[in-house]
Amino acid sequence: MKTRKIIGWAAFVLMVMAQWGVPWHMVWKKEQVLLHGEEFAFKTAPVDPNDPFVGKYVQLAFEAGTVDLPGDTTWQSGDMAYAMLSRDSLGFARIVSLQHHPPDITDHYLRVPVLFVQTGPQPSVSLQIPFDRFYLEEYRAPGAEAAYNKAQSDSTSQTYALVRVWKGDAVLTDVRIDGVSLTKLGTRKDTQ
Amino acid sequence: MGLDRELETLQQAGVINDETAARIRAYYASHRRSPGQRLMVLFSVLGAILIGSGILLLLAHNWDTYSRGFKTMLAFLPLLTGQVLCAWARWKKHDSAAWRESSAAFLFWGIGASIALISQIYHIPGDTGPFLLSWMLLCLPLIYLMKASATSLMFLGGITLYAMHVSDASQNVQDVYFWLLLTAHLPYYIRLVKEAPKGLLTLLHHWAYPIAILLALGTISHEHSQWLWIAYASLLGLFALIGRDKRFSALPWYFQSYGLLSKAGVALMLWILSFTWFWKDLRALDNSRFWAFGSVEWILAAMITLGVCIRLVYLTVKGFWQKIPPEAWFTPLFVFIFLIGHFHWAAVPLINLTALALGIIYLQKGFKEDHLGIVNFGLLIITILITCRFFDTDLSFILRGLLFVGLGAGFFLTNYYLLKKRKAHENP
Repeated sequence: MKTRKIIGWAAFVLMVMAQWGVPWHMVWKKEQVLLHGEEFAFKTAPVDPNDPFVGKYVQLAFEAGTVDLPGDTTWQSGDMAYAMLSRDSLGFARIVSLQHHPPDITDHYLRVPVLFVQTGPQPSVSLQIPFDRFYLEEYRAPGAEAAYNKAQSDSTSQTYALVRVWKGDAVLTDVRIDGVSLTKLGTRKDTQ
Repeated sequence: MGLDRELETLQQAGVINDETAARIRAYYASHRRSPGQRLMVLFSVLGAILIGSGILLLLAHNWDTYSRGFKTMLAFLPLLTGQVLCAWARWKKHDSAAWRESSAAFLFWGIGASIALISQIYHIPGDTGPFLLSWMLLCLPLIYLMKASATSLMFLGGITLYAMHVSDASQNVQDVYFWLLLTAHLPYYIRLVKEAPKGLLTLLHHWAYPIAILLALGTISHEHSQWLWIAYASLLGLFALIGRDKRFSALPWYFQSYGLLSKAGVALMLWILSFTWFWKDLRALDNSRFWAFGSVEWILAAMITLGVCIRLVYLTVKGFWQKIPPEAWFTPLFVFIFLIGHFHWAAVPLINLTALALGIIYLQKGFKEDHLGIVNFGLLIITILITCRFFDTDLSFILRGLLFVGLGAGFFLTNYYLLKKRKAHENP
């Protein structure tokens, strides 16, 4: 009887450790990226759905998500690609090349699955960018969406996501319109 | 109250003496859980879920103003609280079902909330499927360690939802997890049936299990979905055989989930397959696509069908063939019709005849057992079958009208005759 009790409590402690382990591992991985990663600004465009399990978020899409690869026919849908990043003349991130293996020369690359490959005279590869959701307090999301739509129709406006990148992983830290964070743009008044 | 009345009747008739009656009363009193206790467990679980949800909503109110570190700390709070409550319940209140059930329910939602909140804080995208899988995997030991049946039901709901989210199934290794988790959960279900055969939570498990399996089976479908029909027919036959087990047949009708689902499922399959479209598509498949040996759908269909057929042969050899429910015989019969259906249109009238035969069997059974429900079920099968034929035949409106009037009259007359027969029997 006593042995059963000890085994029961040992199993309970193991269960507790596992239940802490999973979320803690998620936090640790992302904190490493925030600590060691380099910040890139990716130009974005949003849509606003509602995931029932993880709250209100703004769906993002990126101009850098499609990469032109003239002469490269080695990619197929479902492949895992390692995207090398650089900045254009305006300081926005773009993917300059794709590799099949992690690079040795830098830690600042993205690990991204290939969604589909476009063949033809201008071949390109579409990638599934791993930071396509920006979570907002529920009341702010509609207002933020309204601000985004307005910015999209204004050609002088610049909308972008700030992302820290390290060893294939990425953490989305902010989404901005002309330097102002979305979290400050959407307010409760905007939804009334 | 019913027991007291019956004991009094038996005492007056001299079947049992006062001492025996007192012992019987004492036995049932010690094994019965009072309605008050059941309600307490139910409201404790609901209260725990509501408190947990309320706390999350209050925290969410000013979420954006908190720092990332503070948010992360808050994200672990539901998990920590649930674990402390569970540890307390195990240590000090292990005899209290209300404590065990409510603390386990709180922790169940606490685990999900923690993972969801961390995803939100770090803007981690991801499908609902992997999130549900991680959540359910972490909750599985909780069910056993806390003997938490309400959490067990939520777990079954969670893994079923997971299976339905994993849509591209047959080449994807992920969909195996539903079946692995269900198998890992099975010992708990078996223990529950043994320890509390008439409990409310056991009753709910009796419904949750087969419904989860029926819903998840459909997600296996990939390129050879025709074999899923065999898999479903065999699964319903298996449910019919399970329902015949004395552990179910001796209980009230609402416990007989396997039997009832089997009847409803077979009737539904027969109605759907009585149309010609399915058989036309089946005949259009070339042989290699039809047989699809080695596909997941084929293997699953073969395994379940073989299991059911072996059991049918065993029961027949042992002389119990008359006690086998008709839905169990549907398994080998449907396999036979299905194979004919790939080559010949004769499968269509055969399926219709099978449906008609099933309806007549239930009519006969209902009359024999003087059971209105069974008679009406038999009539319903025949009525819907005939209604289905109205949609793919060219009968005139007059003829259809007359047939409907005839069917309606048949319903009334059958029920009237049975009720009259019953009254005559009660008042000779």
